[in-house]
Amino acid sequence: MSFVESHLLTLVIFLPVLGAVLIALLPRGEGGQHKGIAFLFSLLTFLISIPLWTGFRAGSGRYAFEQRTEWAPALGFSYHVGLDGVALLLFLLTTFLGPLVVLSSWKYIQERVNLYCIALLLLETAMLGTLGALDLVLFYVFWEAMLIPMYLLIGVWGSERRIYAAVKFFLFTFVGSVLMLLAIFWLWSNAGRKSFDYVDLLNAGLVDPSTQNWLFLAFALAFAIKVPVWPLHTWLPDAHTEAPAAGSIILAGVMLKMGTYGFVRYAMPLFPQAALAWAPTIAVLGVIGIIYGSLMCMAQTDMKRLIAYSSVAHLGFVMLGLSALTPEAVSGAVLQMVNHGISTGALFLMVGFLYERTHTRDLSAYGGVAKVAPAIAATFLVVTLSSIGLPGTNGFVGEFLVLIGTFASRTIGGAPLAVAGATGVILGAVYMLWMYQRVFFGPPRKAAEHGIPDLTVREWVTLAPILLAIVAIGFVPQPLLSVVKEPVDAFVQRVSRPPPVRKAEVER
Amino acid sequence: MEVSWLHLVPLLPLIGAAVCGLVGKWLPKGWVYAVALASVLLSFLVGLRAFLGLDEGVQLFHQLAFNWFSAGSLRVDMAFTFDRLSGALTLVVTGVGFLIHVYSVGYMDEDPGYWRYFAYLNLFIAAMLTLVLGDNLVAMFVGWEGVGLCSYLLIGFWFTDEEKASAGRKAFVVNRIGDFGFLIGIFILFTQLGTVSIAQINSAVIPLGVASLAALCLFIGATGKSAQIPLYIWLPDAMAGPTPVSALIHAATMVTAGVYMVARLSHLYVSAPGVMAAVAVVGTITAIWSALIATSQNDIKKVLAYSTVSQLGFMFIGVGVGAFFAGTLHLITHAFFKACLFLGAGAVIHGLHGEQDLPRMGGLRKYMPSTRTTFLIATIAITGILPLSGFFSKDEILAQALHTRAFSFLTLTPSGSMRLTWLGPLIYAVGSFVAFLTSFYMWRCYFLAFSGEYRGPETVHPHESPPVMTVPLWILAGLSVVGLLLGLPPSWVHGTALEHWTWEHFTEGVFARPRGDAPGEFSPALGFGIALLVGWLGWAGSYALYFKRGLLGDEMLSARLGPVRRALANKLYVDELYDRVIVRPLWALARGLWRVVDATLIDGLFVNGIPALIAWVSAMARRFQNGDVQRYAAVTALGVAALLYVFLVRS
Amino acid sequence: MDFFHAHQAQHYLVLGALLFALGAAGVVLRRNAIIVLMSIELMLNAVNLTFLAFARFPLVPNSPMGSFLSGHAAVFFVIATAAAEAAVGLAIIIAVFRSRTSVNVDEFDTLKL
Repeated sequence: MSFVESHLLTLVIFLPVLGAVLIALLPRGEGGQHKGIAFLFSLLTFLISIPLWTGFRAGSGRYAFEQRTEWAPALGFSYHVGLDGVALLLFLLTTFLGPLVVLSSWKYIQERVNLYCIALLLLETAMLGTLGALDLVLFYVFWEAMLIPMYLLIGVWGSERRIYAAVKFFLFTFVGSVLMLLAIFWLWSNAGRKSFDYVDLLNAGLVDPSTQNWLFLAFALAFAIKVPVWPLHTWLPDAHTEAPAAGSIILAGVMLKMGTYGFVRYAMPLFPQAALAWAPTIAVLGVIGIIYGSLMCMAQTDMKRLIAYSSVAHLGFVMLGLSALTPEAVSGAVLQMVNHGISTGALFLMVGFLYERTHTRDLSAYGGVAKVAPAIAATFLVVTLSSIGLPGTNGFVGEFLVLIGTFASRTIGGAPLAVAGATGVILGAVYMLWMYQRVFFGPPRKAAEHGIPDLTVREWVTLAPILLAIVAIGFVPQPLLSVVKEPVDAFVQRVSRPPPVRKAEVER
Repeated sequence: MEVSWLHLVPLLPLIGAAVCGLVGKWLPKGWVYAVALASVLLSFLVGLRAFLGLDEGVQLFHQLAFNWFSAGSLRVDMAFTFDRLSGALTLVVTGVGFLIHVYSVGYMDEDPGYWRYFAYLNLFIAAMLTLVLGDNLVAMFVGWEGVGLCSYLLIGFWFTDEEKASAGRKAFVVNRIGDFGFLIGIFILFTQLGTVSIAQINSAVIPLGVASLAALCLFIGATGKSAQIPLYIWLPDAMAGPTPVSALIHAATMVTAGVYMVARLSHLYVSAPGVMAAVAVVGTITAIWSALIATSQNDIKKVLAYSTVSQLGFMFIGVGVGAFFAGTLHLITHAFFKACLFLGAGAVIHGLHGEQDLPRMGGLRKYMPSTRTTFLIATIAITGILPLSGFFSKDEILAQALHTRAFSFLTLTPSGSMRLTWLGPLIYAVGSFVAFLTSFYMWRCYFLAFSGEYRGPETVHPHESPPVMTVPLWILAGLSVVGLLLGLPPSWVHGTALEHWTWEHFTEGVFARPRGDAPGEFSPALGFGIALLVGWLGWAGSYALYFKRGLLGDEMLSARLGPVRRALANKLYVDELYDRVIVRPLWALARGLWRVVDATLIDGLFVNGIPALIAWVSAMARRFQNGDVQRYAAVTALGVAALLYVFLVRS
Repeated sequence: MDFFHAHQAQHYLVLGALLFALGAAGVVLRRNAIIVLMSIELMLNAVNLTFLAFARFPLVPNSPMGSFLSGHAAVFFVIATAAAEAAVGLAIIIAVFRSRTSVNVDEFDTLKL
């Protein structure tokens, strides 16, 4: 690989940090130049991540754009980054949403704009690093690094109960991570090679099943809190409701996927027998998440809280698909990760638009917006349809694959779970269309009484790529599915037919 | 035969929809009309060319447009199959669709949202064609949900009215319940047969259990889309949309999708005779249920809506007893005359400036001659008092039901005591009664609207509709008449050139034959006689009550059957029942769960409870640090003493 | 072992222990800061006594380690430390007295959580 190729990944990961440093060095002034730099750098990051897609050769069996530099050989960790199909998709999702997030908060953030932009850029780097890391210590560093910028975003620029929400978010996710750290250390000391490297651990042969159980739970807890899996979900509604729009977009768009990504990349392949044993439970929790999340949505009066619970439901589908352990289901789950990022990110974006105009998230304060702001209504409808999985939008393909793959799964008794999960299709239509009607239909009243300004150019520019993605992925999802085919197959192979347990002596 | 132009059929209306939807607002009105109409017309012409290309040698056209998605062993292509069944349906959809587009130009002319309307209408045609032409169940499902979406958009077209918006939402949600069943059916077939391709399903050997389960689940989808019990409740509310929409979607095309699906998968259903019986029974019950309700409705569109539900029930009877050709024949003829009826109703409403209530109509024959005549023709067609198209199709279904042998080997219980040979004749009897009711309420509708004297307010001056609306009416009325050719019994036309035009002959070999053998040749004369009699009885009853007396007829009935009529007028309280039993408990459950589980249990007990516990323990522990240095010293001394004890004495 | 005929160091050790206990009690129980300091002095001197007792009556008599003077040396250290500590303690008490006009230990409780 050429120099550029081998260092491209690092460049993409750290480019936002460069932007953050630049902003930090500039004088405080008004926010204009900070936002400009943030937008510029996030856009650049997206542009130089495009070669990652075009240069990705599926089916090569290794990690693309791999780079390994020794960091602390005595301690066993190195700077090892690389992408497989799954990581590539989420990577691109992150870089795609990056500039859109900066654009979305252009008017809304007025104080401490420089700190805000720095937080956004650092967050982007942390997420990109989490996705690209192939070394457990590196992964953990980036994983934790995601927490602080998000905490700041919620706590400084959020709504009334922002401190509570920010602290809740931080502590909740941190508790899980700490247990994961312990598990990482255990792996290091017992991997036989004193290495934190992911590839090494993967090839080192398995830990014995009883220990695997605890290790898996430690990892799974951290990821399950992040996803969030029912019943560990209660931080999410508060975080979303209190966060500023951009925070919600990036939280729902990417951060939640880190949890599911952790399952696919780390928790399940490293401990396949434990994963297999726990798969039915996770599937059931996924289904509970779908149904419970949907029911919660029906009971909400706050728009952002409603969409937050819909995230619980959507990611329930993802967890169901992952634990079904068939290629169809897992492919669908990975696709849904991307889809959810796009559609729920778009939902939060649009709710942000409405909030900027009316300063209320309460559903009862709305009505008849479609009459006064038809563009908002039309685009919101498209995003709504994507969220409920209408064929032709991106949501359908992922949902369909997850359900049919789960139904066909022999690894877990999939059929009843798929049937239960499919009721999510009905409930999704119920709550989303009910929300849509309450806000947009009917005679213009309350918040819409004196007219609402329709979409501005900036807002169109922010929305257009998302709408395009919704339709494009809906009609042509195959390129994404082809990219993940190989890692998905390898994943299913490894978890449902795990390699032999290590013969080496277990410690002590 | 593989072709490369078949995709144009659904694609052209899709492009039309895109153009009208995205830029229609800023284009001149004429351009919008032109684009919308042209796309459907072109689609019709492509379909026609294909249709004429079907002959002995070429049974079907097929096109694999592109591989939509594939994962694992599932491969879903966007592919289309144009055979005799789907080809005929394509012509019906595009043909009747085009006529309704033309009609809409007149009907929606003054509505500011006309460009949206035509976009949605085009989108609907595209989705319906995808449904009809789809060569696998997933492609069909795309169309299935697509028409549901268009239904939602069009029913709630005038969205500033809360009620109309709710009606649209109700349609979508109830349809989704059906779609849930459809999806499960797809899953079953995929996991058991390894394919979602319709052709492969239709040629596979399907075990009884698998077939029954899959057929049943798919049929649940059909009850949603085709408004059968228990999911028909959205259709009457769907009348909130513009009347051409009711004509196209809720009479001619979308609601027939369920029937089409059963006919398309005839092999699957034939492999599950128990489910076929269920289909026929559900169809029968639905038919009589809604026919009864239709007799007591005062809104002209509601009468037609319940009539549609009832006629759909007939279609399901047809396919349920194994006479797939009969069910689909009625589908086609029903499209003609029901569309004509609805468009006629639309002309009436348009001419009365929005009046939909029958009690406020009357005597319209004097003001709207074209509307009246076409409505009359269509009413004759549906009630079958003269042998027009509807007569043959409906009668054929009943005859097939009477003589079917598809149930002769089924038993009521698994142990096999009572054979269901009586089911066919029972369906026939009930169906004939429904035919009587159909005649009765349709003629009531006609008489109350067109006969007698005008009962409406002085301020409204009824007038005829412009030609752009009446010409489609005439065409559809003509088709209702000409359509009789499709339904002629083969014994009448055997050997003549007309034989090729009969639907039964045309679809030879398309459908699977039910087990238990085909019904034997039966003399149609008796059946026709009874059908005519039943139709005339309905007409006679209606004539006696309504022709001269107008609304007095209703009053007389109410005097005799007061509570019954009231219940029927209130749609037998089904919506209220669903609301009590399903809707309200569901919302209460949602709110309850939120309060109890999320707020109290998870958040209260664990998420906030554990920190509260820790805080309480800290508060307790904090009391040690009270700032009293002497206390600190004393504790230190005690600690030292303890340590000394441990180290010196215990070790 | 009969107390009155035991090894003579016993007597000194008991005295030292008693004095230490008295001093400790005084530190913990007395309210006046100066009295507390005096009690601390008492504890320190009790420790001195104990050191000297072991110096005079070593546990291992006739030890080969030359003249056994570490006990005495420790006493010197303790006396010096006691003196320094008393000086500093009194200085603190005077400084506190200046701001609070009280030497009641119970009132010096701001070092709490």
